[in-house]
Amino acid sequence: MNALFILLFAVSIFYFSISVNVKTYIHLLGIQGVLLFLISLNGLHELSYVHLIFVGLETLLFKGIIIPVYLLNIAKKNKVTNIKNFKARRKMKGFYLILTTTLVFVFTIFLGNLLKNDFLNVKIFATAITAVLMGLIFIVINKNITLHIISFIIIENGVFLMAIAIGNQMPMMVNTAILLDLFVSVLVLGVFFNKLAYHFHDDSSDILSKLKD
Amino acid sequence: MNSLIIAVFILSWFTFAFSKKLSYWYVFVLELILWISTSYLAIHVLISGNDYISELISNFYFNPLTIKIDRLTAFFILLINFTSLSSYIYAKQYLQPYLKEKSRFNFSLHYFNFFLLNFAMLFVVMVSDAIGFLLAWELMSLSSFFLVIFESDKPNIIKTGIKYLVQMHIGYLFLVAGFVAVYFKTGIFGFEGIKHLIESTSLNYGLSSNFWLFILFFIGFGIKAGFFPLHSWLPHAHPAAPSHVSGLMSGIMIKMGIYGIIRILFNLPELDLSIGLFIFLISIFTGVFGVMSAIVQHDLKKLLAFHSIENIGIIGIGIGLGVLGEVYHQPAIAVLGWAGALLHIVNHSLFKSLLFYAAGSVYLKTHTRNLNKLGGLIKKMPFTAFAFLIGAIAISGIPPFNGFISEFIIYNGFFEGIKQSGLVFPMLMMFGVLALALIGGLAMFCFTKAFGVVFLGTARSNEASHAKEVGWSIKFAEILPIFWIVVIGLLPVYFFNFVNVILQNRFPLFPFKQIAITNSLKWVGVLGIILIVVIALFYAIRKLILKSKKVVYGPTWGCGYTAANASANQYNASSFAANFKRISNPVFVDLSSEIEYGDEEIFPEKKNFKTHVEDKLEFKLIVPIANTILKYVKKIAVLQTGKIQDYILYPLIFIIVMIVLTILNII
Amino acid sequence: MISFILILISAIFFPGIIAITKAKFSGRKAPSVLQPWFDIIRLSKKGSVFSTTTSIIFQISPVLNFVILIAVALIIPFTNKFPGIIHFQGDFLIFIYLLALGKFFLIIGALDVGSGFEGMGANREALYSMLAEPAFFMVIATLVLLTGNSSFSDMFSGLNLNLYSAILFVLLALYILVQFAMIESSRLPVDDPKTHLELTMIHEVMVLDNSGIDMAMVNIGNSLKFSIFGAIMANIILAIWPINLVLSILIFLVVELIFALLVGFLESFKARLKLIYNSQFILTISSIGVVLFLMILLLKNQL
Repeated sequence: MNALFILLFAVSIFYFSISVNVKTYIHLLGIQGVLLFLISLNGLHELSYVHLIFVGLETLLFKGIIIPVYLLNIAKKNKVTNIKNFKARRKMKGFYLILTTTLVFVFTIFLGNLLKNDFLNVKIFATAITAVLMGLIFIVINKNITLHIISFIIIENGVFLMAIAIGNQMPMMVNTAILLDLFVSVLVLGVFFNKLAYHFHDDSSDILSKLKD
Repeated sequence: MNSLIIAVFILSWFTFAFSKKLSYWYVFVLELILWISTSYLAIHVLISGNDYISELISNFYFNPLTIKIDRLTAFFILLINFTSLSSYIYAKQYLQPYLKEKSRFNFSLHYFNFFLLNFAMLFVVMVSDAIGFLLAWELMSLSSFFLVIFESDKPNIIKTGIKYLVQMHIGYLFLVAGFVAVYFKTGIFGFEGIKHLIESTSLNYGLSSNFWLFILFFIGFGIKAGFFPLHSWLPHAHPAAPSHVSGLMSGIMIKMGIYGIIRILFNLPELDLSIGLFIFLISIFTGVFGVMSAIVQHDLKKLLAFHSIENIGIIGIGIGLGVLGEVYHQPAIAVLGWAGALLHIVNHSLFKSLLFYAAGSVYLKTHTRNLNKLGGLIKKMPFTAFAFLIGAIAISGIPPFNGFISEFIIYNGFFEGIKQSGLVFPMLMMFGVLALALIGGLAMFCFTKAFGVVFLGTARSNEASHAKEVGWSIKFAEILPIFWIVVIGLLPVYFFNFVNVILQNRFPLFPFKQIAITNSLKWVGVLGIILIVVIALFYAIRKLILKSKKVVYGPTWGCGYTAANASANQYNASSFAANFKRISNPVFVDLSSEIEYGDEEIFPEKKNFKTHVEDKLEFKLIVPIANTILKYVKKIAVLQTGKIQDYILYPLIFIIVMIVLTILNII
Repeated sequence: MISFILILISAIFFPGIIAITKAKFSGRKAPSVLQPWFDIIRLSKKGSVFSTTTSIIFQISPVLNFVILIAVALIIPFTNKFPGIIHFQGDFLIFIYLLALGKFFLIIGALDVGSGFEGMGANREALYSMLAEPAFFMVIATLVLLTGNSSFSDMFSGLNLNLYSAILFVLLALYILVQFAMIESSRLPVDDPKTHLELTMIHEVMVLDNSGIDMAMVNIGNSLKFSIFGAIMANIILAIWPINLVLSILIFLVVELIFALLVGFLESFKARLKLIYNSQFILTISSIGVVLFLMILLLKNQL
């Protein structure tokens, strides 16, 4: 059963490459959160119940429900709906992004094969590295701050999966670190939209470099 | 037999004594003697299995000049002879319009070089020690250079020829370097020395020294064959040359590079993974690049030249599959790979020469190669259209013709590989399947464009509407490849067995007659025959039915706008390729001009628009480097004054300097 | 033999069921199930109109397509107990490439007319079929990987996987095959068969100038193509576990019925993509095929 969820996670990264609507992105993030919950249930065997509830809360509640709702509200309030309406357009067309995603996926499977040992679950490892690399590529291609936050959350999802791939348990440290990153990014987004974009009338991330200390 | 070959070579020098028409027949007779003698030797070797070794001239260069015909050589000899035959028959009517313009010397030189090219190619495959091989290789490059610049009164043809010659010599340097490296390692100067190269090989990803030696040879042979980064001479030389020369060059001369690579791989004592991976990956890239570049061209012969690059990629994929199969100890897969590659060499020479002949006939009768100026030629030149259609179906790898057979064999090799255990090998096979599927689809795209725009629809220019059909000699030259294309497609088992004969020495214990693919090929042939028969039957039934119904003929619906020329309304080559051009941007540089309107322009005036694409590798990499070198070389060119006094002065200074330095004991 | 008869039976009802589904979803009164066949009979009684620009290629292309589709239907087996009339190692390659031959002649038949409309449809169709081929190859490659046989008649034997992985494979393979069938038969979201604007047609405009018996053959070919793909899908579902003969035939027909209903459903509720996004969409389907192959490869190696 695990294989299906991992496959759906990989397919969701493909759909990131071709989507045009910001709403689709946010829905995909929600789906990824739910999938992470299901994968962690299957993959982490040696956890106590408390730990399991914490992990479940983090993935299902935070990544699956709260953050997408928050992002949807921000998107609606600031009327960022379609990528084409952004002032800062992206550099690579959808066609080449899909090719890149496929190549990255094949490359990570090859990498996973090289690092093969008894503790490593290559399927989850490959999907995790794909998520991280594709998140980074998205940040490089896009200039808009909303997409940067969304790509950042994709990277965090990838890191979470990597923790599952390597072992059967997940120390509290990893969990807390991921939650902290999420809080910081969402905070930055909130601050940005409430204050900065209003003053500068620009939604590109270049304006962050104009901020003085 | 040996004396015949030498005698024919000496007699060919007398071509210059004959008139324009007689020199054609004189060389034809000499060629016939050469073809019959070498083919006799080749068939004898193929049937009996013994190699033919004989000394042609003793003490040629302190060593005798020996020729050695084994089965691989015999295979190539037959292919060279057949392609030269069809090309020479084609040349008679093709060169007819030039009889008035060119001098007797031009014609004699052309036929003489034709003979020399044939002779040199035969010696390239027959000689196995390095000096004779390199001599024959150089002779091949020089004679083909003279053939290419036949129309030397046009300004850029000589420039193209020089470009071709320079690149061939760069490849020659690498070949010499490779042979010298082998000599230093083993003491034998020639292909035999490669058999003694010992190096530790294993299935790791490290690069052994065999790999670097192979790269040296690969660059040298790959420039001739047309692999990806080394291909830039091909799209310029083929359109510049007359069509029978293009057909000959594309059909068999670039296969000499492939012959060299196969000979080295056959002689290496142990193949390792890095060589196999390298050939495989670069051939995939070559194939996809070639066909992607071909789609955006609007010159018919340049399009065909890029398709040659693509098919060299397919042959390379087959060779790569064969090497990978041997590295992973799977003789079944290796046999399928090698057999597919060898069969594709035959198939490609057949349908590519046919396509070049048909394109040449079009050029002969309409004086233009531009796709956007042709059209509707199927009504004026039906036989040429038929020949081009058969070539187009064959090159896209579609049944029932021969292109499908070789791709079928390579595909089967891939699918056998997918069944193996392990992770990396099935993934490589997956890449191969994807690459072949993509190349096949793109080739179909390109050839529907080429055939549709040139032969179907209405004529787009005046010359195209007044074309006439070609004469019987060109038709005969085209029927020769058509016959073999159809026969290989419908009776593939015999040709698969023929190709397996060459591989018998390499895989002595392999049960060649009992593999499943022989059954599949038999079915494929039978299906092809049945398909053609049933289609003809249904077509006849349909015609019968239509006789009893009312059939009306009228012009094509022009959407009510009948004032314009009917040909302006239809799709032409640039529009057909436009949606592909949008996604294939990384491959070429678009130099099209834009249409601009002025600010106050209410009624648009007549505008000009030009689409032109350039090969990206050449435009961005080779041309800037060449220009930079030229800039510095021009400064040194001051020494080249053209006066004879200066040219005597330089060696005089040199002699005096040398004498002084020797006296002072510095040197 | 069984599969050929079943394909013919499903081809009779297929276009009718699609039309009824679409009518019911749009609130119209449904035509009879055999209505498309009454149309075909009416067409074959009519005469023909040919353009003076066309040549023999235009006349031979519908005949060729029809014969190829019948030939291709002979290759499809019925589970692995009853192989098709034609079967050998690598017959799926003949399957795909015969369809490619049909497409080749369809495209040059369209260019033969010499009108801009057909040219538009021809070049779009060439591009999309080229981008969609890898999807089918990847599904076949996954089947070869799972069963170790490379003929259609052996490929649909039991998949050596546990139940969950088998369901995973079947679900994704069916998704890819449904999309591939819709792309090949020129249905939404790539091409709308009911649009009347020639500038937005892809397949319809290529056969725009065919009339009379040629058009009848084209229509028969379309329904045959659908039922052939439905047969492949039914074979994949039946490959999960072996059942007796009568139940297999029943499941086969039910799968074809569900496929027809699904096509009607998708046609009624999807909009046609912008033409610029079509190539992206088709490439995504092929990429998902590659992902499927790699996942099954990893599962097979127990990684």
